[in-house]
Amino acid sequence: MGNTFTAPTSGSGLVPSPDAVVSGKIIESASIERLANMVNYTHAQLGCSPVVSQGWPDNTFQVTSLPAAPNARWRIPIPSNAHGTLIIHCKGVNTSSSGTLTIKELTNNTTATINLTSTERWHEATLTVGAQAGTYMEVTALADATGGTTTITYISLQWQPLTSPLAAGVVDSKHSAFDITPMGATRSGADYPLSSARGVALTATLEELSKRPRSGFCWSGLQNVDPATAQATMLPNDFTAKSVRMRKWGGSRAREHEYEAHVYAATHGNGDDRLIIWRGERHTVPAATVAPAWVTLTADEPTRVDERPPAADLELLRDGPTQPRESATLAPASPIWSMSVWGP
Amino acid sequence: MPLINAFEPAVPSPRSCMVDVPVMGGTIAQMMDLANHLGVGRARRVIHANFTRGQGTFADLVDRTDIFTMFTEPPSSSETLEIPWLSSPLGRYAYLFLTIQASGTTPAIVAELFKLDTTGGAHTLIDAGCQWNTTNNRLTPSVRRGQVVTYPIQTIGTGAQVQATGAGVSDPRPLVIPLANRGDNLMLRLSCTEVRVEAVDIFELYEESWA
Repeated sequence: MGNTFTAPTSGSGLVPSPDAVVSGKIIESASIERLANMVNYTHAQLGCSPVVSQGWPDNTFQVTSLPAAPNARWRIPIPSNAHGTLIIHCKGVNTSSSGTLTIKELTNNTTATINLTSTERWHEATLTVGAQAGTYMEVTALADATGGTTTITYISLQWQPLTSPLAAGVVDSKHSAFDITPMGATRSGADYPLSSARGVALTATLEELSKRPRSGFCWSGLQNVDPATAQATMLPNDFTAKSVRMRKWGGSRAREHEYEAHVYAATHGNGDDRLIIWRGERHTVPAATVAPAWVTLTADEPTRVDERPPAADLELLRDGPTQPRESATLAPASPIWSMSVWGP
Repeated sequence: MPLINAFEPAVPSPRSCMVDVPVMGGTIAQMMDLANHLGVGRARRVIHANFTRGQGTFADLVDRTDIFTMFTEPPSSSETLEIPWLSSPLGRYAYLFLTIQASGTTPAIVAELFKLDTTGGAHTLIDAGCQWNTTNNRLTPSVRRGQVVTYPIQTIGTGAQVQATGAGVSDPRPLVIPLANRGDNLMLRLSCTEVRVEAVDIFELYEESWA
């Protein structure tokens, strides 16, 4: 079977050792097999951490009818064209067992709907997103109640990892100029030549994989819900309290990795411009902008390390929006309706 | 040479794989280095979860004001929070960072790890977990300044140092993901007493062992 792979779990010796191919040693077919296996596994799994993981513990995500527009929205990165299914985990309840939560992607308008029961519990569903030409897509959540009250406590979205064997054929590039070529496992075994084409395909695949984004910060305010206390936009204390800790990998700047912040922003129509500050980037949302629109900011990896837990090689970045210093004289209203940060 | 490099090596040049030119071990080693960094390092699951609560309507303030005071809302007396994720086949432990506010005199958090059930059944406890409280000096209660009580943001965590697990709830340590549950839907449950959890960062930890 071509393009198969095994999870390189501990003990099975499937993690290829660079020490096995140093000068003076023969390059064994087993080393090439392990490399091919690891490349296939990486293509299948990289970028499949949750892209949305947000909770509303005090019943603010609550509706008693069908809202006119979505309650929450997020922009999320897409790992590759081969990754086409989102796993949805939702914790919710409808007091009359007549409520739903619908997750919708806005490129092809495909939806997945979860029927809620009168006992609060976790639900799982999948959303097939269809062809996605871009490197990211937009997703909305809409709660409904045809009877009773619907309360959503948690939503998590995560790309479904690919399974073995990988589909035959090249996967077009998404985050670089290079395509992904799944490695036929049997073609890497003994008695098969290590062809030039295979080597070049490996370098191209690794190039694309190294640019694949990992999700960092992700937050959405709530719109069109019943409770008046529901938080529609981010507040200054959220900037401190909700920022993400991301693993900092050495070599990011040398590899020219670029991080992206996508912010859905508008002012509150009170006559003041509002600022979005993320890392060294600064964007002004003019006072007249009262209908939210997406703003994209890009930056290199910061050089400053936030924390180093008591173990080797664990450098962490603290990431998220920051409060403008001049805002001490402004109302504590930020223009951020939704925000996501991702980077390689 | 480390098996899994925390530094991202460069991709070898395609010129190192051209016809009629010997492929050097260094080229293959560089490919392996990068594949291991990406596959075993970056492909492990990382979860940033945050919790948003009712805040009044001051996000819609229409006038200038500088009276906004942060972090004066007391946390609930008790709250249970749950965070799900589909784990990777490689994660052996999960270590945590929690951004919290604590109140009262005896705030506490217990973190447990479950196999998630999405059919309405019971979740399966797979690690009895660890706790932060004032007895083990891992939590600081609220701060009183004159008449004003504030609940400063604190960061607590398990650390990433693997420790032996006991039968019951232990002091903070990475939670264990048993072999049988790697790749399953998992769920972190936080049972909070007089503590408000704002955000949780969960990192899967990999540990190589040789057969």
